[in-house]
Amino acid sequence: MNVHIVRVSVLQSAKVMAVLYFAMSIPLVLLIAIPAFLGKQAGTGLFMLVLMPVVYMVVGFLFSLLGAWIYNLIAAHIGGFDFVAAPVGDEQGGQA
Amino acid sequence: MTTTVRIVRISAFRTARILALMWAMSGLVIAFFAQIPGWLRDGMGWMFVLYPLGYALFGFLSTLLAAWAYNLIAPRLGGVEWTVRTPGEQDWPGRKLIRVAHVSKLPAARVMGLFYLLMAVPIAVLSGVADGLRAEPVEWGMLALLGLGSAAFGFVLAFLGAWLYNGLAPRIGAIEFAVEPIRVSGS
Repeated sequence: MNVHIVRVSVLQSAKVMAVLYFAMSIPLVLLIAIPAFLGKQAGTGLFMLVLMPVVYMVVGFLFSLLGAWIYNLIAAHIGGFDFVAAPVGDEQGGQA
Repeated sequence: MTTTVRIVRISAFRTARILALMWAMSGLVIAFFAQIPGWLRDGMGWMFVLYPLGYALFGFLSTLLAAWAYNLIAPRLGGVEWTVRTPGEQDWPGRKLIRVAHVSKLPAARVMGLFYLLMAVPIAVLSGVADGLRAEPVEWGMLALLGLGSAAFGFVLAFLGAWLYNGLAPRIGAIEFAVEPIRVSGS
């Protein structure tokens, strides 16, 4: 089955990507937290570590919003992504 | 006729496996063209093996984590939604697990080339504004080069990425994701 992606949902994609960026920043923050606390910069470090996931979320939202909007603009004029999809099975729990 | 579908779930392991290999190959190319002269000079030729492995490990873990997080988020927030057209098909075949068997190279490259060019515009404008605020002459030539370079980069990256994906997918397994139709629109 040939699938042509005509449009992506701008706000919905940005919303999902913002939460995804937030979630992805948590392990990163934890990795940075260890040397930050060992280096006795806990005050500044803690503030930056709390701020980082929020910044990731905002940046993820804005870039996904812009990206999806630009994709829709391009797809409407020159066509979007094409791929061949092979259905490999039914999924549980949704409409059939 | 177009159908709006929701990406309900992504196969984390399959996606991570193929993207890890793609990352490894891009690591190999970067190592070959950008890093190897320095390594050979410093007697660190063994890095040529380690570098792609590092890329593969990073690609695998970050994709696995991202797909796992997406699968947690999507049922709660609703996933990413695409409006798709399936030429020759009546409608989307219900809620299905879909395997991406083949990606068209040229459409992907064209879209990504233009996408990178347009994404570079806000960066170029901000850079121009910053130069103006600092009372420095705006380097329009450099900004134009940034846009064209971004477009060329996006084009080549997507073309090679699609080519690589199409070569790897039949051998190690393609990306799979669960898709649910949510709306059908007229032509």
